[in-house]
Amino acid sequence: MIMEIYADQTENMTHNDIEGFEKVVDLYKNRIYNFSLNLIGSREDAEELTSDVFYKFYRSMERFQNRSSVKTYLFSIARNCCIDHLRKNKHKTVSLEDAKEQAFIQKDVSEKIVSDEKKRVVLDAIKKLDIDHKEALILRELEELTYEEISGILKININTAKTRVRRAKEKLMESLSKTGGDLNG
Amino acid sequence: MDNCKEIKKYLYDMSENEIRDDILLKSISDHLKNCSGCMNEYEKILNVTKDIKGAFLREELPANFTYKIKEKIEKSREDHFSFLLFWKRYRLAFAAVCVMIIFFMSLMIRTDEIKNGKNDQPLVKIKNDIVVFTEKEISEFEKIFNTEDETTMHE
Repeated sequence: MIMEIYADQTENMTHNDIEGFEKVVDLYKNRIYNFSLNLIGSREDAEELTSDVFYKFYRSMERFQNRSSVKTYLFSIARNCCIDHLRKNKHKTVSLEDAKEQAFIQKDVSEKIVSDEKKRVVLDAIKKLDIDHKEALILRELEELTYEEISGILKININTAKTRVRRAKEKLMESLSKTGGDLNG
Repeated sequence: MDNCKEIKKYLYDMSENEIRDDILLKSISDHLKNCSGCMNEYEKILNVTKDIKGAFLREELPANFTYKIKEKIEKSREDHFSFLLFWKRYRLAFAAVCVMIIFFMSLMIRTDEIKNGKNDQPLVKIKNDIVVFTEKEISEFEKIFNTEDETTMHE
């Protein structure tokens, strides 16, 4: 509710309204960061991308006026940034040092956040989903956006958004039943 | 609606409270109470949704993140203003250089055309073995002929 009130206030932001911009950053920074983190899987890159998202948002604040909600607009920018990042890093070769660094980050993430085995198995299965299904699932289940908002961000119709989330869950059920993931709590 | 196949179509919508039609909702609920197969399917969907929600990484950015972004924006603004200052100071010089370049280029092209004889206009235009005159030329001829006629008549 508070978020929506602030989001409404930002409708009248001007290009130099740094105060309004700060409010938006404070409200959405962690949501954009978690969306990016779950989509691309690297903490460092997710932080960098989040920073890019707000920088791009600041630069397009005048053009943005009344076009869509701040939330939808920010997630659209975040989604585009993540897709560009994934595309650029698709064939990236990882040096030994980078690999060690990544292994350290992965271990850190695994130990700190994904504490139990079941969460790890589910997270691994989510990572294996293709990008279309993964982004729809994250927006729905992590960000708890409505299908209308998801369709606006992904530029697809509402039924396609619903189908993607449904298909993602079906794939996860399939994959978890193969790996022996216990879905009964 | 008692058909399991029909009911299963709505289980995902049901698990997300997306069914707005009360009659349909009651019909599905009644079916689930009496059908263990569909109920089992529905519980699987609820459980996988719960597991997904629980597995996502949820972290917070460092406290100085907003400050970092502000810094980045300030930096880009400074760059932008320094460019504007540069432009304001040297725009006349830039315009003068552009005019000179255009002038010399057109001069070079003209000289080149004259050298290669591209600018030599034919004395008369010939189309399909017929000499074609412009309207201006025709009127010039008419004037000449009229003057000649008048001179002959006087003689």
